[in-house]
Amino acid sequence: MKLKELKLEIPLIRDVLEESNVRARENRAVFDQHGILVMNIMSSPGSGKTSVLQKTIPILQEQDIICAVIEGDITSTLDSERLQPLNIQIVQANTEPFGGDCHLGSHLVQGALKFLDLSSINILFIENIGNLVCPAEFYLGEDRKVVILSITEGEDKPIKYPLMFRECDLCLLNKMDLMPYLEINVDLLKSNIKKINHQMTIIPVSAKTGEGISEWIDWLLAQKNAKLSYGH
Amino acid sequence: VQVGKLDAVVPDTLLFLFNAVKTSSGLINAELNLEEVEIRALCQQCHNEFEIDLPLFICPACGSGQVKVLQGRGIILQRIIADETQGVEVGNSSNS
Repeated sequence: MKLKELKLEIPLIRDVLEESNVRARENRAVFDQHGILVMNIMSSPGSGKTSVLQKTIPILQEQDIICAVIEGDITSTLDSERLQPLNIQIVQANTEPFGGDCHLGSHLVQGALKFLDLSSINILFIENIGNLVCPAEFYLGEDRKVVILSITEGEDKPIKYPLMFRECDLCLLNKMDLMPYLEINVDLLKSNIKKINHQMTIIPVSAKTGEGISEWIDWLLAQKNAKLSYGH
Repeated sequence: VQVGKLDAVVPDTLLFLFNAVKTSSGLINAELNLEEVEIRALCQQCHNEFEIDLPLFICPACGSGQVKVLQGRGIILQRIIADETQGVEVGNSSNS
């Protein structure tokens, strides 16, 4: 028996999120194959993701655009229940009944797709879990990322959560109907968003009154037409 | 492991959890070496390359917001080093 010193260096250079990104690209291939435009909708809890969808989807339905929703929640089916009257396909993706992940992963989206009839969908909304931190990290296979920020949250949020605002293509400033009751400086808020992401499209909306919703619909339709014209 | 500063990873927390997990993994002597990667960006207007240490994606030279992030995103496992200085048994005929 003899003893030997061993020092072994194994170079890897592997992205820790590689498996997650592989699943996301698989999701994207499925979406593209069916010509489905996919929106990853993110925000803090209570900013109005579900309310915006409740206002948006009926208008799209009037234009014969078929929508579906993957509803991400840590627990409960309350948001899905709110969307039930829209008569659309909804898949609930709870991460854990008593508190689980703080974001949707690409594997959860992949699992949810098995419950959807993809051949009949034009736009799929993935309503992520309410959180401005973790959901920004994970690509799910979507075409566009949308952040909803309600004006009750303050002007500083883009600066405090830079990755979210850096990653998103569009920001809906929700709850504009509350303007008369707040001391929010919307110009400063917009300027803070632009300091993080110069290219961000910003649309002030109110899911309650419908203000700005037509502009948001126009943006969605432009994305849909752009996707179709790429031949997907 | 390289960790981009733009990612929501807190090095102290990651090290704390790694050290907590390793005690039950059979790799009790394992060490995690973290290297924070600064955020660097390139201005698309004046081509100035600069470091971002505040959440402000604006070129300090020309004030343009059209900046491309070059590095500072992602968690990359660079290498694993096995350093067995305690000695490894070799040449034991009963194992061959």
